[in-house]
Formats: sequence, structure tokens, C-alpha cells
Amino acid sequence: MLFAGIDVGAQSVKAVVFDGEKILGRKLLITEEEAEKAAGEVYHELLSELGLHPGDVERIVATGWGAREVSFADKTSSEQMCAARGARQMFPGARTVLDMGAEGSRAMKLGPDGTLLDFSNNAKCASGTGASIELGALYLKVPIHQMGPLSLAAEGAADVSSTCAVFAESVIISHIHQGESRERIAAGVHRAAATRAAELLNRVGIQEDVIFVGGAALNPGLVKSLQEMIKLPILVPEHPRTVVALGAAIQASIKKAGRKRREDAKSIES
Amino acid sequence: MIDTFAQYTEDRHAAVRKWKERTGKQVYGYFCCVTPEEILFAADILPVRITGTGEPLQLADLHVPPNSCPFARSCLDAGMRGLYDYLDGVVVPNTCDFIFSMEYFWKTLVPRPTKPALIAGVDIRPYVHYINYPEKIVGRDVVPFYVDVLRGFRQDLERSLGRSITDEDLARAITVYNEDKVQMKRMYEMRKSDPPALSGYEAWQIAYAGLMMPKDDHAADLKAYLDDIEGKSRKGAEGVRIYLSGSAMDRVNAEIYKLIEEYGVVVSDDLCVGTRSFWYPLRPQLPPLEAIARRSLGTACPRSTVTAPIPENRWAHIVNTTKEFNVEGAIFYVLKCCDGRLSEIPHLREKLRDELGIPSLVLEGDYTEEGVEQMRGPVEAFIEMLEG
Amino acid sequence: MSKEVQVTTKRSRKTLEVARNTWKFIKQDYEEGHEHKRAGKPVVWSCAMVEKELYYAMGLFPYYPEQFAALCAVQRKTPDSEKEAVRFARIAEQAGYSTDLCGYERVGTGYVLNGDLSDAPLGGMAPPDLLVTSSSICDVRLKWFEDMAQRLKVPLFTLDRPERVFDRGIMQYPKAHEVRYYRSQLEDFLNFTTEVTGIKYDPERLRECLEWAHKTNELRLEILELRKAVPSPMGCADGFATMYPGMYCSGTEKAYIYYKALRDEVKAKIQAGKGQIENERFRLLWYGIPTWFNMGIFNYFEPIGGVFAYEPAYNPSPWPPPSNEDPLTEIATRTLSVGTSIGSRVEAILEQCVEYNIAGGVLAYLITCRPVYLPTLEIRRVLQDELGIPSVLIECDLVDERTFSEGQIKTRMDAFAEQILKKLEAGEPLQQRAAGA
Repeated sequence: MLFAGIDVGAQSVKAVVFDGEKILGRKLLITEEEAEKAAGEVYHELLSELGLHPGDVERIVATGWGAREVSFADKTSSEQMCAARGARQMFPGARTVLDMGAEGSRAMKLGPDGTLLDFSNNAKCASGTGASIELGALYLKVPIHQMGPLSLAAEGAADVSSTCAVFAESVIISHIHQGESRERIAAGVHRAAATRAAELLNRVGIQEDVIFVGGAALNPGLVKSLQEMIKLPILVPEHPRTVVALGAAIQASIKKAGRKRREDAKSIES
Repeated sequence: MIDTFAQYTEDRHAAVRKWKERTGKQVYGYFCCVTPEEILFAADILPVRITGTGEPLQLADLHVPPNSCPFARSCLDAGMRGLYDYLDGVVVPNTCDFIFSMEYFWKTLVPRPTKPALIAGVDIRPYVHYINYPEKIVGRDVVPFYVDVLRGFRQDLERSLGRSITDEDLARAITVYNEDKVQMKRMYEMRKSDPPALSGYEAWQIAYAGLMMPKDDHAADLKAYLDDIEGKSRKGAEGVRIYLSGSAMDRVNAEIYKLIEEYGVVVSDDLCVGTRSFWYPLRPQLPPLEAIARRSLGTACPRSTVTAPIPENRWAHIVNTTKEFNVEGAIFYVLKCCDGRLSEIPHLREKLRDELGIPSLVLEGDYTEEGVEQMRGPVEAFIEMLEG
Repeated sequence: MSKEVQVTTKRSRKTLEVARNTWKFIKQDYEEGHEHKRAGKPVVWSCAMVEKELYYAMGLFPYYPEQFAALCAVQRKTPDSEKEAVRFARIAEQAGYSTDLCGYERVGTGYVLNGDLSDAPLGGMAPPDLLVTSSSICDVRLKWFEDMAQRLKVPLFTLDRPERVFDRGIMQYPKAHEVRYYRSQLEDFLNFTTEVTGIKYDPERLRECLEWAHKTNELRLEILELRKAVPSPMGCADGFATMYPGMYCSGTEKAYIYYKALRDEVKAKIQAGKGQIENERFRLLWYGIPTWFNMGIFNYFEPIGGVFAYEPAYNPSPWPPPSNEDPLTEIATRTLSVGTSIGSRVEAILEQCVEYNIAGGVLAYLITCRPVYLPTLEIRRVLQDELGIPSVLIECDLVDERTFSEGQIKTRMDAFAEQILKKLEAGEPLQQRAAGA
């Protein structure tokens, strides 16, 4: 039996097909289409690449902020649950998971058997998310994928506020004016993001193995910064951006997992 | 949902204006469930709870700064915009710092629809009545003190209205309010079953309407409605049983009910619009002002204190409203800058988990509907986590 | 842990010798508390607006977590580390306390959560035997103390001080039932303390403390009068520096001696015709609690002739004269005579601006201190409407400097000063009562 997971994120949409034990295939599309269309696109393209038909798939679970829009999904499941499941599949010893996407970050705590025990979100703003690194790239006038390598080339780091990403703008600009090197500023931006991520992790309690998933995990500068901060090894899976979609597919393989959205919660008459 | 209640949850101002036109009686607005509204009712006034709009502020933001309770700011904004111009008076108790400031802000900034009546420079028909509600609700002298405060309030009202409010009037009001409590308790009893007979949102609608209707009408309508539900052995939706504790639940904040109930079901609460608005009895064997004082002091508002590290009455209320409802998880929905709740939550969560085995989720709201939508992720995750 | 941007927090330059020596007074006071504890005597943690004479009369040594938080806002463990207040606030936030909460509460809670109470400036506050708080001023003090009492596992007593709302005016004698209510709580407090510490209430001892307190209050009121002089002999940096004994040691002889010296110094300055600065051109009011981590702000306008002449926070009110009445009734009456509504506060500030010849208001826009913060926009409006004087809002936290944007604030302050300088250059009056006022 085959199961599929679709993760509809803010900047990209991901799909994974899973057979209950291993991953058959994964796909990621950067898209600006609205959720239903994007989900359809990535799902059908993946099936096509794998030589499969929609009828081959037993159940589909959607996750991410656009999950509810995916009309052809059987159920939805939370990003926290999916991140936990996906990370655990890649690393059987996973106990703490950090999922850092473009717009939101969350930390999950897993029990010894992989059950989700607790989670924390960044409540209010862009600090400690991929967005804060993007903003940094914007002010430094550097392509986003160069931020990581730039920071790794630094000796030490400039001080960048970790409390507010918007504050950070004026701080970065004043660093530039004072002749601070772009490497050190980049390192400072990473350190600020890592500080907030560490706070999220500390709220649930950190225990090895610590897994980092989501687009931001591809940033070596951030991984290094975070590792230095929590003083524990950080494991990054191959294809970190599709781990949450994998988790959704795993949820699909569990009969009772996830839920159909109730149509109208307003007043329930019998 | 029956029409009588629905009209209040859909457009409360229109519904109250209609009532006022039809009956020709007076309407007073008030803040918070501690207000001794029984005294207003005894004077043949309809007491209505003041709530906000959830719309962007138009006027209040020039006068009240942003790092403060968004609900109360919105209430003031509504007043300044004239949405409450049908009120003949406003009652402000000393509850939290922000509501206390309404005594000044409402008096100063909201155009008063009634004319003052000046005698020797004293306005005997004030628009805003302030009530010195004690912060510490236990103590040797607190009941006599508060009864004196209420006596003063009654006298101010009598002078304002040009009529007396006798103990018999108060006793009659107490009877009416007690009957409403009976029906409200009955409604909550129906939420103890699995699945509950009505959803949390529906229960909210009923409670909310009650804050703006005469209590005798509300009790009668509710009784008929509950008789009907019982008669049909109605069963509501199933789901993880959630306890909701939070800031004032008006139409904007109540969106959180709808969100939660897409994934679980709200069976009980610690809300001033919920259990705290009716849970405490008015003991008819006491002198009426004392009965009202004790009821008002009993409401276990988070801002109240006792002399003890954990307010026992607060904990007792939470135990009473969770144990029999078979609650599986608690959601704290707190508006930003709500000092009373933000301060109590860290140790309250621990206590809930350690003593009652109830895990909890904390959501910080900004009093907008978009803000509620952003909580979808954590709510879904929390309920999935509880499902195991 | 990443280093936060080091705000260039400057100490203030004070005008008065007594003000400069207050740090010594504070250190000695803290040390006295530690000695008291070492001698096996009881220590209480409390807050402002509780009548301190009661503590001294009962042989308790009081510490004040809010004052301690202000102290932490200035101190660093090592020249390189962040401020102690920030260190403690982080600990609290990590434990789930929202950043929206009062800075004092976050710092105080973080300090307690840290575990070792001596891992702090001045060796910290001696561990308390009891906690006493009051409902006056804000809700946070009630909840914060409940929280601390649970964590420290010590008994807590709460005093409920009824709010005083008047139609008009800043002070009014309280009603009988209000006095009775507050007095009964004072009695309950005394009984509670006896239960916890074994020390019995001695009315004579309380009388003694009240006498010192009265004399001290008189001196402080005298100093307030003297400060109206032109040029201003004592500024806000001095004012905030010298509030400590009056706020926290009222009822002791040492507080009286302190203010006597201060009064004499201010008098001497006036006699010598000396002000805070040489060329005083305009006077400012600071509304609210100061940015403890950056007191240098009070010297900011001096280069252009601007001085801070008056600050309403921490200043005493006139007390009814001492009587032969029962001291507890006397205390209740004096405490309840002061108006606590926003209306009273606004009225008082208007009066003060006139009496101190204020040309502009610098309003602390304290994003986590609700009672100070809520009336700020109204005060700005009223100062403009009634007196024609401009104000500037300083957005910050009381003790947590992470939200302080120095650049932005400097820009605002400069623009504000411009408005005043324009008037001076045009020969316009700096204050203008509204027509018909």
C-alpha cells in the first residue's frame, strides 16, 4: 500500500510517497500558486515521475499552513506531528526536533518511543526563522544562499540584536557604515537566529539526538552557530526540506492519525 | 440556535437598541463579571456587558497606548465611536489595571448621551459609576467593607434615577438571577456527557446572549431550549475534551472556540463570560446586599488575590470546573499584556499537570480574527498530541 | 549566549554631593540586611507603597525586589558581560514568562529561578522569611509576589489598599469604612508577622518610627519646595538617586539624617545662586520611572541649556499631622488620602508643571509598566492643550535595555528640543495657559 504526504508551505510545496517502510520518491516545487493548485501540481508531477496513478495511493495527508485548502487530501495533520514523525523515520534515535521554515519555527520533544510529548512555537515574529536570515541577506545585498558560506568565513561575529528582526536592520546598517566586514555581520545574523532557535529548543528541553529539519537546515552557517550554542551535535537529514512531507505520508500510513476537517463547527444540531 | 440568542451574538447593539425601544427602559453598560448587576436589575435597568469590536481602532489609539489590553482598548474605541450611545450609564469596577483606567477614559473621552444634573457643582446623575471592588477577596473586614461600597453605589443610583431601590427589589432580582443560574448550570451539566449535548461554541452563544438580555427572559428561553435538547436526547460532536481558560470572550475572541472545535470539543471553561458569570450562588437567606457582595467576591478572577501563594478560590474553581467534565487538555487563550494571567500561567500549568494530570497549551492573542487563525497550527498539534 | 549590543549606558552626572554618595548608603543598607540575617533576625521582601515604618517597628529588615531589579539594570558581572537585569530576564523568559510582563517582575523572577540568591550584585538580597505585598499601583505586584512565595516557599501577606477616585482634586480624607478596612488589614499584617517571627507588636516602637518618618517626610517636602528655585538647584538625576532612603528606609533615623544633609546642600546651592548648570535656558519634567540602565539621559539637554527640574515619581505627599490617635488609624488615613486615579495624576502633573516652570515633558513610555504607561498619551495631550508645552515619548522598558533604541530616541529628543529652542529664539513664553483656564 502506498501513502502520500503533502506539505504546503509559505514559499514551496513538497510531496513524498511512502510505502509504510521506505520512501519511494520526493518532490519540491517553489511556487506562488495558491495552495490547492500548487499541491495538485507537486503531487501529480511526483506520481508521474514514479510511474504511479492517484488510484495507487491509499491515503493522502496534507500539512503546512495551506493544508486545509487541499481538497483532494483525505486528512490533515499538524506540522509539529509531521516533523516529529519524519525526523524519527530518518533518525530512529530522534528526541528533539527543530523545524525552521521560511515563516515559522517550532521545536518538538519526543518520548523514547517517538511519541510527541511537547512542542514550542515562536509566538510573534520573524526572529529565529528563515525570514530573519533572508532579511539579513537583503540588507547585506547578498544572495540568500551565500549567507551561510559568508558567515563561515568570518572570524568572530558582529553583534546583531536577537530580539527583533526589524531592529536588526538599523543595527546591520550601522555596522556596514562603521566598516564592519560582511562576513562578521553575516555571522552575527546567524548567531541571532540561532539564539532564538536555542530558546525554542530550551523551552521543550534538549535531549540527543537533536534533528534539524526545514529549509534553514541547509544553511551550514546556521547549523554551526546552533551547534555552538546548544553544545550538542545537530543531525541534519538528507533532503531536510521534505522531512515534514515525509512525516505527513507516515501519518497517512497510520489509519487513525490525522483528521478530516469538520465542515461547520458553529452549531451542531443532531 | 434559537433566534432570541442568535440576534445577540450576531449584532448585539441592534438587539439591545430594539429592546430599549420596545420597553422604554434604561440600559447601563458594565465591565467584568464581578459587577453587582443585580442592583441594576433591581432598579429596572438592563445591565449589558461592554465588549469590543475587533476592528482596527479609529479613535482610542490616540489616547491609549498600544502595549495594553487590546480588548479593553477596543471597548473604549467602540464607546468613542458612539456604538454605545444607547447607554444611560456605565459601571466600572476596580478589576484589573486596565479596566480601572476605564473610569477615567470612558468619563473623559466617550461623549455622554445623557445630560448631567448639576446641583451645587455635583453631578447627581453621573454617567460613569466607579465601584471600589476589593483586590483581596478574603480578610476579616472585606465583606463589611464591600457591602458599604455597594450601599454607596445603590444610593448613587437611587439619586440618579430618582427612585428607591429597596431590599425587596434586590431580593426579587436575586430570585431572577438564581433561576438563570439554575438553567446555566443545567446547560453545563449537559456538557459532561461524552459526547457533550452541545458544542462549546453554542454554549458560548447562549452565555453571551445572557449578558445582554434581561435574566428572566434569558432563563425562560434557555429552559425551553434545554427541555427541547433533553427531549430529543441530542448528541453533539465527539472529540478530545478541552478546557478553555482565557481573557474576555466576546464575538472576536470567541473565534477561538470555532478553531478549537474543528479538532476537539470545548466542554468547560474558566472564563468570565463562561462559568465565572454564573457559578456562584446568591444566597437568599442573607441580607440582599451581602448576598450580592459575596457573589461578586466569589468570582475567582485571575487578578484577585488572597493571602496565600496560590489563591485557593482560583484553584478550587478550576478543580470544580475540570474534574467532573473529564477534561483531557487545557488551552489558555490570553490576550497580550494581560498581566494577571501571564503571571499566573507558569505555575498554574505545572499545578494542572502535576495534580490533575491535565497538559496545557498557551496561546497569546492580539484580539483580531487573523490572530486567531494563526493559532491553528499549535491547536491542531496540541490536540493531535493528546490523541496520542 | 550571544552578546547583546552594548547600549552606551552612561551614568548620570549629578549636581549634588549627597546624591553622588547615595550608592554608599545603598551598599551599607544591603550589608545591614545581610548582617541582620546572619544574626538570625527576620528579613521581609516587600514593595513600594507599603508603610515601611511597620517593618522597622516589628524588627524586620526589608528588601525590595523592584529596587533590586533597578540596581541590576545598571550592574554587570564583568565588564564584558550583559547587564545583570538582562541575564535574569532571560532566565524568566526561558521559563515561560512573557516578554510583555513588567521588567521588574521578569528580573525578580529570573533572579529567584536562578537558584543561588547570592549570585547577584551586592551579594543579592538576603533570603526572606516572609513576603509582603500591596495592591496599590498595579496588579503585577500581587501576582509576582504570589509566584515568588511559591518558589521560595515562604509565607505571603497581601495588603489591599482601596483605590481612591475623586471627581476633582488630588487628595481627600478617606471615608470611615475605607479607613476601617485598611486598618483591619494592618492589624492582620501585624498578627501575621507575629505568627511567622514570634516578634510582638509594640505600639510605642511604631510611634517612634512614625516620628522619624514624619520628620523625614517634612524634610522631603521642604526639598521639593526648594527645587522650584531658578536656576534649578537639584535635577532629576539627583532626584532619582536620592529617593532611596525615603522610599525604602522611612521610619529610621538614618533616613532623616540623610535628607537633612540633602536639604542643607540644596539650600546652600540656592544661597550661592548655583544651579545644575551655568546657563539654564529651559526646564523639563520627567514623567514616570526612569530608564535605570541609562541614567545619563538626564544630562542630555545640558549642552543647550536644558535641565530636568522635576520628577513626580517617588515624591512624597503631605501627610496629615501626627496625632494621638492610634498609629494604625493614622497610617491608614495618610495612605488613603492620596488619589490614585488617572484623573488625579493628570491634575497633579499640570499643577507641578506650573509650579516648577516646566517648558517640556519627557514622558517615559514604559512598554511593560502598565500604571505608568496607560496615562502617557493623555498627559501629553493635556500638557499641550492646557499649557501649550510639548512632550516627547521615550519608548523603553524600565530595566531591560534590549528594547531601547538609542538612535531613534536621540532623534526624537533632538526634535523635541528644537520645538522649545524655537520658542526661546522667537521670544515666546515657554508655557501658555489655555484661554479661560
